Amino acid sequence: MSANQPDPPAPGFLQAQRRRLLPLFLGLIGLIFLAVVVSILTKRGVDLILPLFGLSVLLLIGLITLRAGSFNWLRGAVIPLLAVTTALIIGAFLIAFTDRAVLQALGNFFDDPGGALRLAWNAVATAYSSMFEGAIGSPTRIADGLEEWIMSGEARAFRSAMRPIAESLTRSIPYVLTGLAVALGFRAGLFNIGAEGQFLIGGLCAVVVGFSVTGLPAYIHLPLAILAGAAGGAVWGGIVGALKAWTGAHEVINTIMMNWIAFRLVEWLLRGPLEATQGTRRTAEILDTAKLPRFFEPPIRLHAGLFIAIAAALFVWWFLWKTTWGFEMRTVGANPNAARYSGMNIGRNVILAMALSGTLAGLAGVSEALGLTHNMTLGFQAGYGFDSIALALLGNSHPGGVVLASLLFGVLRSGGTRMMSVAGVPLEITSIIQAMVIIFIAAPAIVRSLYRLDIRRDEMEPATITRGWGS
Amino acid sequence: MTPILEIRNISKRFPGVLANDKVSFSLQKGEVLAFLGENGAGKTTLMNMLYGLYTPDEGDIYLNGQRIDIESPNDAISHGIGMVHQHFMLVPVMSVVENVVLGDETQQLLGVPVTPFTRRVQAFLHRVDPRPLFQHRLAGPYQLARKALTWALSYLVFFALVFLLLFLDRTFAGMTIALFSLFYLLLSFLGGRRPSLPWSKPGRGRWLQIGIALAAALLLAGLEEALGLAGVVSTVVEGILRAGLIVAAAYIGLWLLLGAYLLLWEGLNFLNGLIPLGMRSDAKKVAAISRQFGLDVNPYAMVSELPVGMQQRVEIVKALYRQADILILDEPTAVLTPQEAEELFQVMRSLIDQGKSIIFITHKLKEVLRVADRILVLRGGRMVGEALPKQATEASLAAMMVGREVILTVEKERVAAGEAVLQVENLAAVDERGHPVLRGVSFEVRAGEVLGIAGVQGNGQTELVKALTGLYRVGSGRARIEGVDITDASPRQVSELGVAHVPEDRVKDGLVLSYPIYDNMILGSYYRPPFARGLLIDEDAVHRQAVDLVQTFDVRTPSIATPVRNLSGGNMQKVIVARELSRPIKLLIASQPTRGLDVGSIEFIHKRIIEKRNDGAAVLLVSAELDEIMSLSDRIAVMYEGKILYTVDAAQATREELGLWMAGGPTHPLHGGETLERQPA
Repeated sequence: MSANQPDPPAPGFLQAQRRRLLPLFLGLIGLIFLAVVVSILTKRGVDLILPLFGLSVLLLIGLITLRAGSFNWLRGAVIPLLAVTTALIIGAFLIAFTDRAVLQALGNFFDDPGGALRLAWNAVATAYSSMFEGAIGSPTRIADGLEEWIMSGEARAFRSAMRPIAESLTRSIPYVLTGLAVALGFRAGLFNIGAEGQFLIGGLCAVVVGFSVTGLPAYIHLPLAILAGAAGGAVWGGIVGALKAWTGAHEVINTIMMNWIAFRLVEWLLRGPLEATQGTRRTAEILDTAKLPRFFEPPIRLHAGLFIAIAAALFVWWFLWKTTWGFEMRTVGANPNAARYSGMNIGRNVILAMALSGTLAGLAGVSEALGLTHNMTLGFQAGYGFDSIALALLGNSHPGGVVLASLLFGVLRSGGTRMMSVAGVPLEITSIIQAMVIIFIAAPAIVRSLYRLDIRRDEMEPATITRGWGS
Repeated sequence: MTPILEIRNISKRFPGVLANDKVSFSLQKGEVLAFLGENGAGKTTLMNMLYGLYTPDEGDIYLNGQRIDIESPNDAISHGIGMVHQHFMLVPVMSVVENVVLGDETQQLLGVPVTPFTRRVQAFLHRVDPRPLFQHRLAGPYQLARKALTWALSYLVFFALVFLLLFLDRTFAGMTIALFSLFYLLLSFLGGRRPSLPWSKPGRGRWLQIGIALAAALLLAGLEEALGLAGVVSTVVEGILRAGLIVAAAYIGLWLLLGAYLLLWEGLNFLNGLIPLGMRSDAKKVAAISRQFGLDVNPYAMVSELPVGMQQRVEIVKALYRQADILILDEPTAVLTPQEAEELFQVMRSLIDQGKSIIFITHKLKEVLRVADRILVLRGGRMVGEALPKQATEASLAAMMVGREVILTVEKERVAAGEAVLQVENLAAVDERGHPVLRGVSFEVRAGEVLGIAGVQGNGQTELVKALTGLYRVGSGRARIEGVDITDASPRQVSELGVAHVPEDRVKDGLVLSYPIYDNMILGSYYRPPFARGLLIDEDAVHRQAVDLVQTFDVRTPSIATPVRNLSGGNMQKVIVARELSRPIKLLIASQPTRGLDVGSIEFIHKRIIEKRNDGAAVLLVSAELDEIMSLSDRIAVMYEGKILYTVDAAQATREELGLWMAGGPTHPLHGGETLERQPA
């Protein structure tokens, strides 16, 4: 606020009426949204949706204007949100400029700028709306399906309409867990690049227990398989932690090396010892008793891994912010010198953090193996471990942030598939958008200068911000 | 006589803080003007504005009676203003000459004086930079044009909105516009500075305008067919687009051309740097400057091999080489020994004699009274007083700085020293490269006494304190606390024995800057009741403790949840002192407890240390400030090159004698005694 003039005081009218206006606004917005929902569901008054939507946005603007002070807790979300938006905007340009029709129209841009713009806009609109449909679902199809379900009791259409959103959630599960793994490492000052390998080992252990242990009831077999996977990940991460604590070997190098070991180990196992049928390069299917239950009938694949992910996120939050161990771990990460000075055992924390991180990544592999693939094939890891670094950054290494970031990535992944099939936009564009989100998160200064935000106090040097607090 | 530099009503705001509030002063030619003020009084901000690191929000700067704008350090240098920062900006692995000419733009290139033109290009580019357009800070010669452009742009955006709604997929466009509005809304209320859309002025009123634009767009979209507007609007919009495109193309072309020139200039500058040192005239010029002002700098020496005092002179040469007439010295004596400071004062005199002017920033009262011609005092960003050294006293200046009377000497009654709490015998240690840093240190500290360890920094004090607190590996010798051996004990074992430690580097060791105050207050005791209940942290107990300590130790903070990063140095130190003194202790090890703090905080912390001593704790005080050592200690030990050379009862100690021992004592090689190896700091 340094450069702008101070805001003029709000008119007296508004100040006096604030309390009375607030419920009014809230009620109106609620009514309008209700109207939108009803008109979608009844498929009547669809033409009204747009003006109603505009109106509700206006009301929302008014509401937030009135209650400016009470939204401060959202401040932390500004940079990630802007990063995502900016990436989507740049992605829009990419989509437009890779579209053949647009490129052609650009050839005679100066004669007909409107035409080129129109085409570009259409390309972007189709791409992003198909992405939306692929990720969340088409509102009309959902409405139709719901109607059919209520009227005739036949739920198949509704299920397939809900499939996109369920698919987004399903794809978010491994993201949440691996993202938590990396985030926990970051909080402890460790850069765990090895989530990929830990993911693979976790999945491997779970699958092996899943098909080789027989004759157990599901309530023993399933937990056993999960534990085996978690333990596998914990060992894979813990080794790196121990190496760092005892010999000072850097965790970045060692996690990378552990990744390679994991990749090649699994490759070898799949070529020989664990290969179920010669030439398939895959393990046997796990037993039904070891499968994570799915909530719905096909085509919805959402499985109980969701609960593992949610529980893990809650656990990480509780552990880091509510326990003395977590306090130690965060202190070691935030300032190892101060941690040593206050008598914390840095080595112990490093090992524990890496083991926990490995456990979380291992659990991601577990949920993927026991919930979705039910066996282990080459390429099982699918890059989740590497994307997770971005997720942890995007989520500011906070469990809540990681969950939101994972949802975003899940949505982008499942929406990207549809964007490719419907709008013909290559899947790579989605990856580019993801990459740009990360760039903008990693360099908040870009976003801040793009949108001319003030540099936050805690990002400034202590020397300049301490001024004026008095001493 | 026109002052060489005059500042009128300069103000600078940082988010939530008014760092400088209508500050005015003038500097005469050949004058040493001293600025006094507590930490956070706004001295450094003011100087950074003079040096172009910040731009003032309000106010004017006049040089020789002419108004000037200083927008970058380059501007400051071209106006003859040079600055020597508190932390030197030197490249250690380069020679003095290389450091001096580094980044200098006044040189000619292959005989062509291109600098003025380059400056002009830079200035022009700065002026036509389109980015400030969106900031509503219309100033400068292109005001009118910019204003017109702003208008044009704002309507372009508006028309674009309508255009989108009319001709494109309406639902999608509506959603987009709605999302955009939400997005700007979010920016506006959460992002600190309000974003400014081209068509709206800062302030809440703009949301009304955005709303109107949006509503109009939606309305037009709804009524397009009824009104038959489609064709008209599209023609108008296309015309505007086409005109805008041509203007934009020309504009971008100009930018590219001038940018290319600047790039070329940078390249040539780089090539110039490749010419070997000996073949350049720079070295001779540096030597000449050094001679002229009695600086005694060897132009070919490697900066990393120079002592701190000499490095500072290199900084001064750097400023003089760029033809600075006004030198700003930011706390120059903070890093110097008393002897080096003395030499600096002589250099300052010789600079003044040759017509330079000096602005001298410090919070050491003695120095100000010695070297300044005039003293200005800042408090809370305002100019609160002016004094002449002849009429002022330390007490009067301190009162002006703090705004109340300050007791400069610590009152303490003698307490009979009790049992020895800390006993150190022949402690020796080496640094990472195997050089000895402690060479057999022995002493003891008894209950109820303060043992002060004096010495120039880098003589083993840091390692001694770290060795005693379990943070540094001891080579040989023993240390005991009340008979318990703590040689190579862990930090936790040491603190469990009742040792409090105020670390030398509060930011590096003592605090976690990103943590709120309450978490920093339990840094050493988080694992013990009442803060821990089993594995869980009792947040209520933690908060209660923090509220309690913040009150008793007078930590000035908006709340206990404020990250420590946002506190001033004095308050950071108070947090540490509060934490360390809040538990029962037998021994307090305080290392540089008041470094860089202002008078008020120093007074407060000194009082607390003496209180602990009176309660019967043993205190080991390590400080580079001789005044602090002399006023707090009962006994004083002087450390030099890893040894304690001299121990004396504080009552009998004199400044001169201690200074002599700090420099190696009467047996120093200068006096023909034993030869001691001097290691670079």
